[in-house]
Amino acid sequence: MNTLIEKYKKNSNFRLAVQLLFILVLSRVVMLIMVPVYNGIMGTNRSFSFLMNEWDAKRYQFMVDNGYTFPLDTDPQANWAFFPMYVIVCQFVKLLTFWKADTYWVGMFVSNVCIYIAAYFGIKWLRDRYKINNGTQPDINNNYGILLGILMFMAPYSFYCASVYTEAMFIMFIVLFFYFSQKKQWLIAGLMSAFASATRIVGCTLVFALIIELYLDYKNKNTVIDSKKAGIWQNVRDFVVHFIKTPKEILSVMLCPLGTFIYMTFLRFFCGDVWAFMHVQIAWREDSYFPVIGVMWKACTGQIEPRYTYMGWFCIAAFAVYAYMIYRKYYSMAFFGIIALLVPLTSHVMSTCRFIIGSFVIFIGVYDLMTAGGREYLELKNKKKVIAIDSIVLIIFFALELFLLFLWYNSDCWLM
Amino acid sequence: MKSGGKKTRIVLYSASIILVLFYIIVMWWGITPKVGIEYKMYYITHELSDWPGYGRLSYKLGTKEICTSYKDRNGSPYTWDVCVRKGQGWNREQYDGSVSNASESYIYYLPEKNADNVTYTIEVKNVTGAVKVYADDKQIGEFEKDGTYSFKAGNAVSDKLFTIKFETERGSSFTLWSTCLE
Repeated sequence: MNTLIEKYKKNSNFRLAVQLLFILVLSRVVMLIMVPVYNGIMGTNRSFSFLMNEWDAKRYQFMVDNGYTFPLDTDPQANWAFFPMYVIVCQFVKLLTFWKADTYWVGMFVSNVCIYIAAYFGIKWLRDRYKINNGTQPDINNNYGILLGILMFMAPYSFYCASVYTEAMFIMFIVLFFYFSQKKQWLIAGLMSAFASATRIVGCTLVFALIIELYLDYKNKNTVIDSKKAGIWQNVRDFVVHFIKTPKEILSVMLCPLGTFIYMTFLRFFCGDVWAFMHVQIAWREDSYFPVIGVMWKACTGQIEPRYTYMGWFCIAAFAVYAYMIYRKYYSMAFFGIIALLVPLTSHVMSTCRFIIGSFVIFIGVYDLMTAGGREYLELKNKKKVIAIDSIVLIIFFALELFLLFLWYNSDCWLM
Repeated sequence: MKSGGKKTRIVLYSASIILVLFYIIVMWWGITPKVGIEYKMYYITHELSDWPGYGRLSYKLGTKEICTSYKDRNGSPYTWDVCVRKGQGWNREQYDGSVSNASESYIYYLPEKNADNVTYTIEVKNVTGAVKVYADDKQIGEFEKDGTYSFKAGNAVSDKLFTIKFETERGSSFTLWSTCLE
C-alpha cells in the first residue's frame, strides 16, 4: 500500500492513470444514478444498458452479433454505412467471454476503455506540448491537463463515449495520432490514422493534419528557410521536395486512409460496390440541400426543424472554436476539426453535435479557452478567481450533460 | 534527415508504391461497380425512389400491382402486391396511392419474358390536368379524368428495362392507384 502511495506521489504517469480512473468511475456512477431518476420521473422500469444504447447502438449490437447483412426488401437502410473497426474489436472482446457476455455491456466496456486511453494520452499530449514550449515538465503536483480528462468524461455530449457508439474509439485513435505526431513518430501516427479511418470515414481526413504536422516540423528543423524572404510557395516547394526524398514520411501519409480502403475492398467482394457505405446514405436522407452553405443557411435561419436550427448554431460555435485554435497555433488540430465538420455538412446538420464531440479536437479548444486564452483575455491572475470561474464553467457543463443524458435516456429527437 | 539506410529506404518506398497501387485498384473498382440493376438504380443513380429489394424489379407480365407503401397508416401490412418499382416524381407518403409531384413521374419494369404488343393498364384518381403516358419514350396515350385506362405499349423484351413515364402539366397532379402490364 505504501509503495502505491509513494508511486502515486512520485510517478506522474501512475498518478494520472489513477486520477483519470477516479473521474471516469465517478462520471459513470452519475450515469447509473440517472437511471432510477429517469425511471422515477417517467414511470418506467428500464435497465441501464437499454437506456444507454439508443438508435445506432442497436445497429452496432446487431452487427457485433451478426456482422454485415444485405438490406431487407422493405428496408434499404443497410448496415454498410457503419465502419467495421469498432465492431471487430467488440467481437474480439465478446469472443474472449466465449460469446457469453451481453453485447451492450461488451460495447460499453470497449467504449469506456477507449475513452480512458484517449484521456490519458490526451493529457500526455498536453504535458509534452508544455515541455516543448517551456523546456521542462509541468510540476507533478499541479496535475497539469487533468481538466481535459474531466471534459472528456463529463462535458456535454460526452455520454456518447460510454455507449455502444464509435465515438470513444474514434477519439482514441485521433488522440494517439496527435500524440505520436508530436513525438515525430510519423509511421505510428499514420497507422493510428489508418485505424481511425477504419472506424469512421472522417478518419481519412487526418491525412491533412499529418501533412500540416510534417510541414511545421520541416519548417522548425530548417531554420535556414526564412519564410518572409523565401515566400510561402518557396517553402511549400522545398517541403514537397524534402517530402519526396523522405520515404518514411511518404509511407506515413499513404497509411492514413488505409482502413477505409480495406473496408472498401471488403465491400467490393461483399456487395460489389466499394462506395456502398456512401451510396447507402440515400436511404436515410429525405432532404437534399446545397452542400455546406445551403445546409447551414437552411438550418441556421430556421427553415427546417428547430432542433436543426440549434445544431446549425452549434456548428457555428464549433467553427468559432476552431478559428480560435488556429489563432492559438493548434493548426493541425483546427484544420482537422474544420474538415471533419465540413464532411457531414455536405448533406445535413443531423447529428453534428455528436460528430463535433467525436472529433476530439473541440476538447482541446475548450481546454485552451478555459486555461490559457480565456484567462489571458479576462486577465485572471488571482488563483482563487481562476478556480471559481473554472468551477462555475464545469458545473454548467455538468448540468448540461445531465440534462442531455436525460434526453438521451428519453430517446429525444433533439439528439438525432 | 533521411530515414535509415538504403535498404530501409527501398522498403519504405516499395511499401508506399504498393499502397498507391492498391488505392488505384480500389478507385478503379469504385467506377466499375459489380451490382444488380435494383442496387444501381436505387443507391447509385437514384432513378428509383422505392427500394424494391434485390431482383425484385423483375416483373411477371399480367401482375396487377397497387401503388401504396407496404403498410397502412396504422402499420398493418397490405395484402396485395405492392408496386415498388417507382422512379422519381412521386410523393413519399403512399398510403392512398402514389401522388405525382413533378412534371415527369416514372415506373420501371424488367419483364421476365418477351412479349409483343403489351397493354399497359392503370387506375388513376384525383387527376387535376392532362397527363401524357410514354413507354420507352414513345407516347402511348393520355388521360384527363379519374378512371381506368389501357394503352398499347409496344414490345417488352426479357430483362430489358421497360420505362413508363407520366408527363403532367405544370401545377397538375394525379394519384396512381394500380398498374398492370400484360
